[in-house]
This record gives sequence, structure tokens and C-alpha cells, in this order.
Amino acid sequence: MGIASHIVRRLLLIFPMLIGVTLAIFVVSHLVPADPLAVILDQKAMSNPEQRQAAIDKWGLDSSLPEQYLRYVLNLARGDLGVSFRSKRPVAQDLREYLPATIELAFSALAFALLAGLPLGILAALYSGRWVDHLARVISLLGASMPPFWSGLMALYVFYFRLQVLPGPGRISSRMVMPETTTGLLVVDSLLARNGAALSSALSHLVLPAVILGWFSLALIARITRASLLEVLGMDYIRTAHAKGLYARQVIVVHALRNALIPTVTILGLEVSWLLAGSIMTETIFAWPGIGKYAVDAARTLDIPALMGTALVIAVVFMLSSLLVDILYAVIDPRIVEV
Amino acid sequence: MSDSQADSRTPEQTATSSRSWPRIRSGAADTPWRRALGSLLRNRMAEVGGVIMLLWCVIALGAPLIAPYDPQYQQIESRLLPPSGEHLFGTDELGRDVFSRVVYGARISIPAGLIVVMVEFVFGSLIGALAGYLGGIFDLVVMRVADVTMSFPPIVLALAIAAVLGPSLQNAIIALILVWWPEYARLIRGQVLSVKRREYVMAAQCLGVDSGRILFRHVLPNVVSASLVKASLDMGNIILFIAALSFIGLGVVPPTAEWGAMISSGRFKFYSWWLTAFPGLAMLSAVLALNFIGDGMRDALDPRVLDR
Amino acid sequence: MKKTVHLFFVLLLAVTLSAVLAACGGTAEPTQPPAAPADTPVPPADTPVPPPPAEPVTLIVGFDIQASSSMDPHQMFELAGAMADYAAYEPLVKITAQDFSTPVPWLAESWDISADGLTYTFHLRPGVTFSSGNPLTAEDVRFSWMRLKNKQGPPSWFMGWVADVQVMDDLTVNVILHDPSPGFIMVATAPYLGIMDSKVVQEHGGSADEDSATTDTATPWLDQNSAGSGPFILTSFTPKSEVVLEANPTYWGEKAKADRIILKHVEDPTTALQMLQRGDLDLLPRLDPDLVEEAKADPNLQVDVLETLDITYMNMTCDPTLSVPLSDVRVRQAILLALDRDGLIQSGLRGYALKPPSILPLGLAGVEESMIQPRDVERAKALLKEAGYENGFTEKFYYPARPLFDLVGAKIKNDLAEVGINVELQPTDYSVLVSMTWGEHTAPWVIGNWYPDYIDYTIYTDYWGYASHDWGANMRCEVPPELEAATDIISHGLDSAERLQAVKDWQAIMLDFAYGTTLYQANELIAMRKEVTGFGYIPVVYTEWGQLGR
Repeated sequence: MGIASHIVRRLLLIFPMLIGVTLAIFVVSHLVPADPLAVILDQKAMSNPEQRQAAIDKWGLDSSLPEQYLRYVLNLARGDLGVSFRSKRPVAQDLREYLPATIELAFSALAFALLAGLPLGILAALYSGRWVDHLARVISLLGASMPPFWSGLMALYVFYFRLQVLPGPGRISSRMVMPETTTGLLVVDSLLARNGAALSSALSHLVLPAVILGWFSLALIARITRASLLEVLGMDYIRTAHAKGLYARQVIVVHALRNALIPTVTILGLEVSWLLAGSIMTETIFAWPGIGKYAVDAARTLDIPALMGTALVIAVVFMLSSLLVDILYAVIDPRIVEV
Repeated sequence: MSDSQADSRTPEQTATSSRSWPRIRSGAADTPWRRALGSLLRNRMAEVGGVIMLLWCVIALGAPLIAPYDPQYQQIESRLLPPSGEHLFGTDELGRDVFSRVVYGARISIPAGLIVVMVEFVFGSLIGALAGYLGGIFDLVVMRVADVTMSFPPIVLALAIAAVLGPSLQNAIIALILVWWPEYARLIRGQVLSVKRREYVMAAQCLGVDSGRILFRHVLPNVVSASLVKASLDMGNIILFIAALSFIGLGVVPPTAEWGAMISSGRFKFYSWWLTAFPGLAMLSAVLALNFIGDGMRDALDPRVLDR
Repeated sequence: MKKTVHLFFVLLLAVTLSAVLAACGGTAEPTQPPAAPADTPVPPADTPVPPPPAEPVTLIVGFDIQASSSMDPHQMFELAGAMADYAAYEPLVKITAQDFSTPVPWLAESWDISADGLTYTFHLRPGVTFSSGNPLTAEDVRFSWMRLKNKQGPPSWFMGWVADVQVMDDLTVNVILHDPSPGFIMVATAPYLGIMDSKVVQEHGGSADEDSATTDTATPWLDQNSAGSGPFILTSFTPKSEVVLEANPTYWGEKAKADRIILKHVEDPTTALQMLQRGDLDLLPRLDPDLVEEAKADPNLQVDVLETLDITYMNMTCDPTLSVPLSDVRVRQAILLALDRDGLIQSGLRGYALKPPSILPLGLAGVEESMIQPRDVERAKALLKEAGYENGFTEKFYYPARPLFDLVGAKIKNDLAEVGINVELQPTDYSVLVSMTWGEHTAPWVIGNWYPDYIDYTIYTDYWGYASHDWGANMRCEVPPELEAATDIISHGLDSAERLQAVKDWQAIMLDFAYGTTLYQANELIAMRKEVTGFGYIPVVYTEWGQLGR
């Protein structure tokens, strides 16, 4: 079987998965022990017979469950995720507004994870068994064992509250005039607007949440870099290079690192989607107006359309990125197709 | 087709696609000399972890003897007192003794983690084993449900289910079980598939031993070890997830002393740092210990490590 | 530092109002001349405009705006929205920080009340313009109030008193009430009754017709803009983030002292105080009582402790299908007797609250501390025994999931454990609780905050006294007929002495029927930067935004 047919097969798998995911969301939202009409409409609209009928028609509530599901999917296909009870606006519109903040945070976290994780992993491999290795290990273990909502609070306490070196929750200082919204990414927008003050405020607000969110990815990146580097370093061609008298540093840079980085870089796609999920707790702590906080607020207020819409978006991003990684793997290492 | 999803993943991928808090894995590609050194370190760590966990179990069991106060006892006139001789970890916003509440918190988090892991372990393993052994339609359906469940980040799905079911510890536990089982099912199914092809199982089949017996007598024992490693690593994660749900307000209901809920109550009271710091440290120590143990157990039990 | 606004004037509220009514008696007599008391911000038409300040003044107010989903004054009913809209829309009649018992003329220069108390004639102030430049006319008043009524949004009940609004001429409008209602002139001070620019609102799809509920499409526009005559213009609203108000450059009166006011969403009171201390905020209303000492210790801040008419209430159902024990009046009485309200106020609220006898807050005439029922655990136990609950019972208790209410809930749970009642605490999100209590009426036992929307007894007595109102705190309670009778007199009685007596009776009956009570009447605690000037607390609308400066 060739790579092409593998990719086609994986792409085709997307459709049954999408059906499964929407079905799961449909089922979960019907677990609410309430009238589905009450879930779709708010209190006021509930008492309005015309609006009730409109909703019944739109969502096909007088039809059977399979038919309702079909309508739900058709609404989704048109980009209609329903209307949030809380904001009284279409969920899709809310998500569009909140997504840039999450993307900005996730990419900053990823940047931090890479900038800190790669050197840490390389050092840990080069000095395997020495204190750097142990340090890397402790950092990874802490990353896996520390609840982000706690580490976030503690970080705020120390750096914002006590030391006063970093700003508190939020994306930008409250006194800052927001740069004109073009991309929704504050850093980019303030760059475009050549607004240095806004840029530095936005960047300094990113530090704590990005570090807290990126810590888990850092641990993983360091571990994988270390493991794959150790593997490559043990291979014959590296030994040959050594034997040829090349300097160790050169060997690492030219040969080992390049090969070792392939798995690390490949997982970045998956990492972004994990960061999206991880943003849920981090955004809650840092009052970061992204989709993670939106989801938590929706969960707390039983804002089912908002919650399910967010879950759907995250699941789809998640699925697509793992598909991408899968395909990348197939391209890099055609052996797996044989399985 | 049903195999492609599970089997086309490299070890690194499995590492990332395990849940949002990355698990500790010893790299599959470790060199022998590094592993020797590492296992020494790990075993010492596993020992430390074991001691800490034992300590937590003793604390949980002996909570009434250890805690100087009833965890619900309010002295409303002594609210938000900083740590002192009388109140080791200070008092909370209702004048309750934080130390006593941290001690009693062990009675929630540790059993809850255990329950989830055990149910997962039994339920997920059983389903996975059956799917792997029976194959066919059952396998197809189970694995597709597992795929769909796993296409959600667990915190998202747990959040949705817990929200829909309403806040309570039970519902948080149910949500986590519903979210987590596919990992076990998948793991066990993969193991079963590989064991199934081995000679002794085929021999038993040829001899006409019935499927149920083969599954329970020959296949399961071989694959349980793999999920034991996973379970020990997972328990820490489950504790964190339950705390996260409680923190959001979808887990335990007040005034239950639970670490996540305690952290949540101190969230808006930065001047009283002890409200947040101590329950968090308690949780960190327990989860860290579990990760130490899991890491060590992997070395002891993971067949892949042993095979090398 | 501690500044206490005394509610002394309010004590005479009923008396003055009734006196005004009696004096009016059919003759066209303006209650107050346009030349108002010295401090009242009535704009003299010919004052030269002061030179604009060199640097624009932006004041940032930290406030929890989570509950705000709309800025359309006819489509929202919560505090942050009311505060913001009060800066952009102006009512016919105002109350001032100096004396909030007496209505003063605002967009209406004067008004007359007919002898039967049914017809209010408002004479509009000439020369008032909206921010669009359109002049204020009687049609705008009719449009605004009819839209409020017909839009059937959350605040449409404000029009429950009104049978009709008639345009007499360009600057005269007649308001016909269903029943004589001495409190109506105070109702007219509410921010929801602010006057809109009917032309602008209609341009954006607004309608005041009877089918406005379905045909009006102006809300999305009004969420992001305003069409009022106030000193500020709403320029943007981002839910859960901020409300931005810019000074109205063409304001008809004295221009706002600040150029921009931003209501910034804050959730965490400690972080909010930090922001204030660092200058990221200028005003922080609703300071957490636990943080008052910290705020007072900061030399850059000023802290005001203000008496309010805001109450935190507790309601219990009378319907056995919701709760068998609570439906027994003896059980409800026992619960009231078993609560340690002093302990709650002293330690939970650091003493920054009052303890009124029943629902009505202290500060209103006829509400006296002598009526307070002291805590009596023994009597509570006896009542429970009599009701057959000697061994107690278990009941669910719903409260908005907020830190302060966690404390209140825990304290109640503790107090009631002493008499054997096991309280199951159910912290619930505010909006869910709202739909449970006001929509579905499914909560057996709730607490919540009640802020007056105008200053009159009726804002409390109608809600708790009329079981028939579907918006009321009916808790599925058939209230005793004598309570309804007292409520009637408070609502419609034109005789002041009779009204005062009814107020006293009403409280006694409420204590006896015990389905609702006030747990405490919290002080308003506001922390401000030292340099902020012009703050004066007004119940209902918070403050006169145009006066705030630096």
C-alpha cells in the first residue's frame, strides 16, 4: 500500500469520525434533565408561542430523535452552532471573537515550550545522567504533577502580588487603549498599529499564562528530544563521524540534531491542539478571554449551546491535527503504512 | 480498517495522545547504560513515592486522629487567620482549620482517584479484551465509540458531562469514567491482539478450549500488567481532574473538604495565601508520589521494557 | 475617612410624598422649581463652557458585569447595565446623592398629579437635545415608555402601573395610571424609564407598537450605541469585558467632567483591589469587606462606607410539592429564629451591614430596630417539635455561587444544624438561579440580593406581598389576606398615616408568615483613588457619572 492511498484512507476516515463526534455532542446535550426547548430558548422566548414554534420548526423538535439529529447536523453545516443563553448571540460569533485570544496564548505557550524544551532536552541527552538530566526530569515530573489552576494561582501570587514584576490577569492593561482589531491577536495588532506601549503590555500579560500552559508541552518536548537524540547518538553513522575525527559539537549539530528533531517537530501539530484543551484551566485562572474560559463559564451556567459548540470546535481541531500528524508521519517514515 | 487508528501510532504519538497532562514515560528509545542508571534513580524515586503515598493512606485512614479539629467546625470569629501554633495551616474564610481540612481532603481525592482507576481498569480492560478477542462487529462498534470519545480532549468532555449531570462528586467520577475508559480498552485490545497470535493461545484453541476460558486463563493475565502500569500513572491524573472539576464548581459541593474546592475558595483571597498554598502542596505531593511509583512500576512490569 | 451617608431623609419619605400628593390636589403646581438646590447638577442654560482639559480624563470602574447581556435599557435588568445606561439615558425625574428621598425635576421641568392620583402631567424641559442633536419631545417619552412596555423585556414590569401615555403637545405628556400609586413618581426615576431618542431608535428598527416584542430589531444596535440625552454616549459593550462610555460633546447641560468612563469587568476582588492600588482602576465599587483594612491602609486610596437600601434576602417555599417541611409555617418561623444574623454580620461581613427586622430595609420610615426578633434557639426547637420535626430534616438550599454567599450558606448550615436541620448547600450559577426562581419557581429555598430599582416601599412590598405577581417572590406561597391588604394600602393608599401603619403591619405579618426575610442589609464599600472627585452615592443608579472627575 502506498503513501497516497494511506493518506486517502485517513482522509476518508474523517467523515465517520465527524458523524461520531456530532452524535456524541448531540447525545450529551440531550442528557440535560430539561425540556430541550428550554435548553434552546431562554426564559423570555419560552413564553412566546411564536418563538417557540419557530424553534420547534428550526430544530425539528416535533420529529423523532434521528430526524432531530439530522437537522442539528444540517444547521452545523451552515455554521449554525445555536445561540448562547448567556450572551444571547450566536455561539459561532462568540467563538470567533474569543478564539484569537486562545490562539495567541497557545502559540506563545508553544514558543516557550520549544525555546525552553529543546535546549533542555539536548542538554539532558548530552549530559545524560548528570545534574542537567536530573533537572530536566524534575521539571518534567513537576509539569505532570502540578495542577495548572494551582500553579497559575501561585505564579500570580508570587510574581504579580508579592514581587510585582509581572502584570495580573487579563490580556492587556486596563488603561491601555486597545489597538484596532485586525487579526484579534493583540501582539500582532499592536505591531500593525505601531503601538509600542500596547505591545509591551500585551507581551508582559502573556508571560505567566504562557509559561504555565506551556510547561506541560515543555516537559514532553524535552523528553522526546532527549530520547531521540540519545537514540541517534548511539547509531553507527554518528560513531563513524566520530571516528572520522569530526568534533563532537559539529556531529551533534549537523547529524544528530537534525534527525532527532523530526519526531519533535512532528508532534507540534498535536501539541497545539493539546494546548487548546489545556487553555481551559489556564484561561480561567488568568481571566483570559478565550474559548477555554468561555467553555468553563458556559459549563457553570449550563449554557448548553455555548458549551457544546466549544466542545465541537475543539474536537474538530483536535481530530484534524492528529490527522495531519498521522499523514506527516507517513510521509517521513513510510514504514508505518505497511502495518 | 479498525486497526489503523490504534496501530499506526508511534510510541511518541501515544505519549502525546494520552491525556492533557502528559504522563511520565521512560523514553522507549533509551540506551541501555542510561536505562541502568535511570532505573536506579527511578527505583529510589519509586521508593520515595511509595513512602509518601503510604503516608497519605495513613493520613486518610487516621484523619479523625490526626486532624486537631473537625474539618467542618467553624469559628466564625477567627476567620482567615494566618498559620500559627494553634492552626498549623491557618484558618479559612469560615474560620475552619485548614490543616484539618487538608488532612480530610485525602479522604476524598485518594479514594475517588482509586475508584475511577479501578472502574476504568476493570470496565475498560474487559471491553478491550472482549473486542480484541471477539473481533467483528463488536470490535468495530466499541473501537469507533472509543475513537469518538478520544477525539475530545478529556477535560472538554469531562466538563461537558459534569455540567450536564450537575455538580456532585459522584457525577464528576462518572464523567471521568466515561471519558477515560477508551484508553484502557485500546491498550488491552492491542495487547490481546498480539497475544492472540501467539502459539499457546492458538494451541489452546486447537484443543477446543472454549473462548471464555481462553480469555480469562490465558490472555488476560498476560495483558493486565500493561494496564497496571497505566493505572498507576493515571491515578495522579484522575486526582488532578477531579480537583479541576471541583475547582470550577462542578465537583464536590461545599462544605466538603476537597483539595480542588479548597484551592478554589482561596482563589479570590490572595492576602490569605495559606488557603491556596497548602491544599495545592498536598495534592502536588500525592500526585508526584503516584508518578514516581508509576514510573518505577513501568520498569518492573512493562513487557516492552523487559523484552529488550 | 469613613463617610456615612445618613438615610435620615428617607425616613420621611412616605410623609413627604403623601404631603406632595395632598398639596397637588388637582391644581397645576410644579413640585419644584427648575432652580434646584446648590449642589444639584441642573444646567444653567447660559453658563460659558469651561475650557477642555489638556489631557483626556479616563476613569475606569472595576465592576462585575458578568450578568450583562444587553445594554438596551428595555432588554436588560441588572445593576451594571442600569449603571451604564444611567449615564446615557436620563429620566424625567431624578434623585440626587444629597437627598434621595425627594424627586427633583430633570427632563421634566415640573409635574402635576390629579386629585384621584391617576393622572400625572409632565411638563418637559425645553431646549433638551439628544446626542443625535434631535430635540426632546413628548413623543420621545411616549415612545420610550411604550417600547419598554410592549417590548416585554425583563424590565417591562415597570410599566405595570401605566395604563396609557398621551402626548398633549410637544412638551407635555400625560401618564394615566391604572390605580392611584403614591410611589409612581419615584418609579419614574428608574434608569429603565430613561428617555430615548425615538427617531434614532426607529431608524435602527425600533418599535413601540403593541407587537414590539417581535417586530423591534433595535436591540443589537442599542447594545453597542446609545440614543439618549445623557452626559455620556455608549460607544461599545463587550460582554464579560467592558462597557465604554464617552462624554457627550453636545450635552445640553453641564458637560461631564471625565472624557471617558469604562466599566471594566473584574471577577476577583483581590486582583481588583491590586489593580486599583496600581492605578489600573480608579473606582472599585462593592469592595469585599475582607479587603477594607487593606484598602484603608493604602495612602493612595479613599474608602467610603455607605448605607444602602440593598438587602440580602432569604425565601422559603410554602408549597409542599417543593418541600414538605418548609411548607409548614412553624418550620419557617423556627428557621428565622435559629439564624444567628449578628454573628453573620460581625464576622462574615466584618460588621459592614445592618440587621433590619424583616424584609424592609432600615432607613425607610416605619422600619424600626425595635421590631427585630432576637435569636431564640430554644423556641425554634420547640416550634420544630410542634411541627413534628424533632429530629430535624434535610432540605436543599440554593444560592448564587459567589464567595460571599458560600460564607452565608455555610453560616446558615451551621446555625440550623444546631436545631437539627441538615442544609444541603446548592451553589448555583446566578442565571440558572434566576430562571429557577423567577421563571420556573422550582427552588424551595433561596437567598439572593435585592437592590431597589426605585426608592419606595413598593419595590419590596409588591415583590413579597403579592403572591399573584408572576415576577414576585411568590415561592408558590398563598400569602395571608392581611398581608395582601397591607400591601394594597402601601401601593395605593393616598393617606400617609394609614400607609405608615400598613408598613408596620406588613412587617409583623411577614415575620409571622416567615416565608421571606432579610438576612442583612450590606453597606456599600467603595474604594477610590485619592484623586477621584465628585463621587456621591445614589441608591439604584450608583452615582451621577457626569460629576466624576479627577
